[in-house]
Amino acid sequence: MSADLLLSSPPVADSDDDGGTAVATRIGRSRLILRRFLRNKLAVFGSCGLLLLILMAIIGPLFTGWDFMEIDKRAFLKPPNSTHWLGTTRAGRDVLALTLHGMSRSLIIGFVAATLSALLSAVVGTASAYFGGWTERILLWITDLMLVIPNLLIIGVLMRGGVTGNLAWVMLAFMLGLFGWMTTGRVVRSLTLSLKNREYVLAAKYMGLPAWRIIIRHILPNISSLMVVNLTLGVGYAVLGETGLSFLGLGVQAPDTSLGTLIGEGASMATTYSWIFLTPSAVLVFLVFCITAMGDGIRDALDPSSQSGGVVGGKRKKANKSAKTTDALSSDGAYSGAVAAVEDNAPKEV
Amino acid sequence: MSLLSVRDLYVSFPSEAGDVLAVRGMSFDLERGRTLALVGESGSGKSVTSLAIMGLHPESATITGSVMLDGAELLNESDAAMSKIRGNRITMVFQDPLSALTPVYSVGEQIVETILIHNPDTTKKAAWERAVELLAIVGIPNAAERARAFPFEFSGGMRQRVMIAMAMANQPDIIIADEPTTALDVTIQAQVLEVLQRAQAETGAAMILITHDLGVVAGYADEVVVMYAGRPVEQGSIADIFYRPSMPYTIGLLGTVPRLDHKSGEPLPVLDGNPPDVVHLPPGCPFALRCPLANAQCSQSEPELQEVSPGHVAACVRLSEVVGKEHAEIFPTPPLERAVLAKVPREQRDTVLELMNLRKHFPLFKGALYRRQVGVVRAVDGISLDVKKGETLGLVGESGSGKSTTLLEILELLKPQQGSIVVLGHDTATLTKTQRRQLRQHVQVVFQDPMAAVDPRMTVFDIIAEPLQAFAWEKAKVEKRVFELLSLVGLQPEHADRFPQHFSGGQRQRIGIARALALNPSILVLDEPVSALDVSIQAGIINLLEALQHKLYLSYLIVAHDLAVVRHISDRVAVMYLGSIVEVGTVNALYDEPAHPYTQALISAIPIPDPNIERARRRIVLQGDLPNPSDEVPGCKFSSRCPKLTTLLDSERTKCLTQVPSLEKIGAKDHQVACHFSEALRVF
Repeated sequence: MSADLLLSSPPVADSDDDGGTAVATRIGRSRLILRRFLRNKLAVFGSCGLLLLILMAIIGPLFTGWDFMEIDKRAFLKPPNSTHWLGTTRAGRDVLALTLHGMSRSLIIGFVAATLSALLSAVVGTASAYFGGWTERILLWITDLMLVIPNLLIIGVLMRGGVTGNLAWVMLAFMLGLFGWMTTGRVVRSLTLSLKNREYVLAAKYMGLPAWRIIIRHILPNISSLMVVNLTLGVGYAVLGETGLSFLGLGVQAPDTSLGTLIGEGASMATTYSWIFLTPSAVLVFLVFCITAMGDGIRDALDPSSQSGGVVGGKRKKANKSAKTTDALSSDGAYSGAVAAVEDNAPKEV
Repeated sequence: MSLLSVRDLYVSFPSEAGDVLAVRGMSFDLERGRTLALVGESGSGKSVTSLAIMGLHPESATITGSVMLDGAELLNESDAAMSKIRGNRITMVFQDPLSALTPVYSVGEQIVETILIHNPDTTKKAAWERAVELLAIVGIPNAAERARAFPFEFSGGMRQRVMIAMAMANQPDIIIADEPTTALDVTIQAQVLEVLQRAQAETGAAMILITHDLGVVAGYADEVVVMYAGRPVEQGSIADIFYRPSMPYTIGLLGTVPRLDHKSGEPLPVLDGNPPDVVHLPPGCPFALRCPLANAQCSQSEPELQEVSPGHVAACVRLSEVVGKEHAEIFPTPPLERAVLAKVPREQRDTVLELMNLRKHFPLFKGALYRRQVGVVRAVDGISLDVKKGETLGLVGESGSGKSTTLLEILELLKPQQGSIVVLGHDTATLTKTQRRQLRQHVQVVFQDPMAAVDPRMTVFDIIAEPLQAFAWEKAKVEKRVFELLSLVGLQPEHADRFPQHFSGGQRQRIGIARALALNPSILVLDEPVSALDVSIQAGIINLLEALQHKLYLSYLIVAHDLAVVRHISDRVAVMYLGSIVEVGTVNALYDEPAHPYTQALISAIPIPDPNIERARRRIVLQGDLPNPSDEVPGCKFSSRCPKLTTLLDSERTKCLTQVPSLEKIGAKDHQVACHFSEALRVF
């Protein structure tokens, strides 16, 4: 992904406002992006799937009839049946209730961690690039240091010595967020570096705007598309990180449950009592798949040179062959914008 | 039979908003050895026409019509068949010489590749020799050695020469040059155009020259096609188009260009409005909306090309009435308000900006682990300037001469490395942080690129209100002021809620100007304010700037590479070369009697949109490029390229090479020149 594409310049459409004619259809940026997103079937499937999973996590427990903590003393290690739709564990807990709870726990951890890391990367990335000098040096030094230390190991060690019990997941979420922002932070920094010398940022500076306002008003909104994409994909990574740690017993602590602990519990009996292992694994795979598909879809919709651009009015087949070139034209809303870019490259003074 | 014959070429692209009708009904014939110019504003379909001829259009494009090369149809050829023609019989010189060369191969290898692919029998050695020979023809010094160099080792002008060498490698029948000099400095433009002509003479090829610069057309074309909204609206010989234009658009375009050989002080005739959107074309003549002569008939159906005289056609419903009319009879010239201040002699006006011996050097570092300074780039090397109230000072020079650095130094309002900057009586070296912020209100900036200068994610209201909010204006006052500013720069109040992408380049530049004026500044710094705009839009912005100056007693410091624009708008002009001012004076004195050899060369390099004048001019073509600004030059910095140096005696030459000339007064009042042997010279 080249930097310029991420800077999400909006579609350029030459207007004829003072020409006097009304333009029949002008496509707003948000509608254009939505349209491009909807064209990507996999992404639409992903977002529907994710929505469904979230809904299930919220209202599902009302319908299962079992609490995830509840123990059915008459049913240990029972395969799926009419009372326990997905069977029970060795302790007699309902696998469906456990999976739903575990999924919601994993999702919350994912969202908290991804949000935290997005915030951190935005702050560190923009501040280091915008202020430069010692601020940049120190922040970069911290970023690089964090990049080279083995994250999961450190989190694991810290988790052992930290909060235990029911609130362990909060600490885990924060840990994952705290150790997950560096790559994005560096990308944000390089984007900010190129935005910093954009003329409207310079103009704001010469207008007398304080630095923090320039960052909030002019820089952050212009890297928002990158942030949205990274936030979405970040949820996926955080969920995977959480399950990994919980699987090793370093994450969420019993009796609280996440997908990771469930998989860990089921793994030892995967060949004999496979339902305990299969259900959470399938949910995990499906969940991460949905998030990734959606994130990719958002990225393609925001990226003007991607393949999601299409053609109005039945010429789709032909256009698909050269989606790349077509899109450079079509995503600009109107052709004149694209031509302006080609022809209007007047010499630029350095 | 013509070499290239294009008939009824239609090109359209699908897009989200609907079909883009890029080219509609193009027809022309091109003979061997002739040059055809395609002229038009951005989006008029010039480049698309050339891409369609080359078969380089996107696959999604729908093309109809016919393109015959020597009687063979090209349009339905496969890509493989076209590959045999491209680079062999039809070649292309692109606008941007940096992106047109592959960075990882030496230029020699790239030319060899072009030769070998179309002549498989040639030996590699012969091809290499031919490449070296070609590079020598296009004027690359030490061609044998430089053929092994990589594109990044060449300057922009040199790269364009390499492109031309590559284009002529296989003795093509047609060379298509798409804005070949737009990305280059004027002095380099003159060199490259000369090389292009040499290439054409050498190969006997026909040339299609795509450009928006009417001066270049006047100098080099034999025939001209004027395009508007994808349609050819007038076609004819160079004399027909320039001396007997018959379509209102052509007439308007020719009249609206600022001319180097016209004195300033008159308002520029304006071509109102913007070109239409080629997706939703209105019925009728596409120019009707901007045409002062338009009537009901014009908006009914699109006029066909009609013959004006043999070989000269124009598309206008009211052709019979238009033919023979002067520009002024069709397009009203806006009235110019004369400023009160213009009557006050310069000496009696307040100085608003003063630079004294300003210097900005950038250190050059080398080494990864242990960074050491290996040299210094003298971007600005001791310049002194002053701008009086209500005055416009133009700063001109090639890129790399330090103009923009000077502007940035002023805008930063910090203590300079050396020398001083005095703004409205305040020395920037002594300012506290609060004072500096307060002073910012009085110095505002308008940038070159109207697309980049406004935040795409804010509404026009927010953009203009931002400086007011930064200085904590009350909400009610902000609102009132924004609408006041909108009407001041000629925008409608209802524009306030829209986003920048809904505006054309000219309108965006107006937004940028409104924002700069929000805080009632005294000084406006203009960095190439019109160079990114189309010719027909430029005039409106120039007139707006002049009107605002008269209304608000603004002082302008304007940097521009277009010397014709500078002549039009400035009161005084300073010429910069490698960080120093070489000549400064009132605009008419400096343009009519330039005394520094560099100024003379610079003015002489600007093409004038008048074929007779342009072809009769004797041009001073500077040799070579701007020297490396980090090199230490003992004497006059211009001595390495000075055309005058060769005419001097040895003893005089030594003076140039050893002593740095200082600015000395000559002739008319406050005309100063930094040359040991200055001599006024009329260059046109």
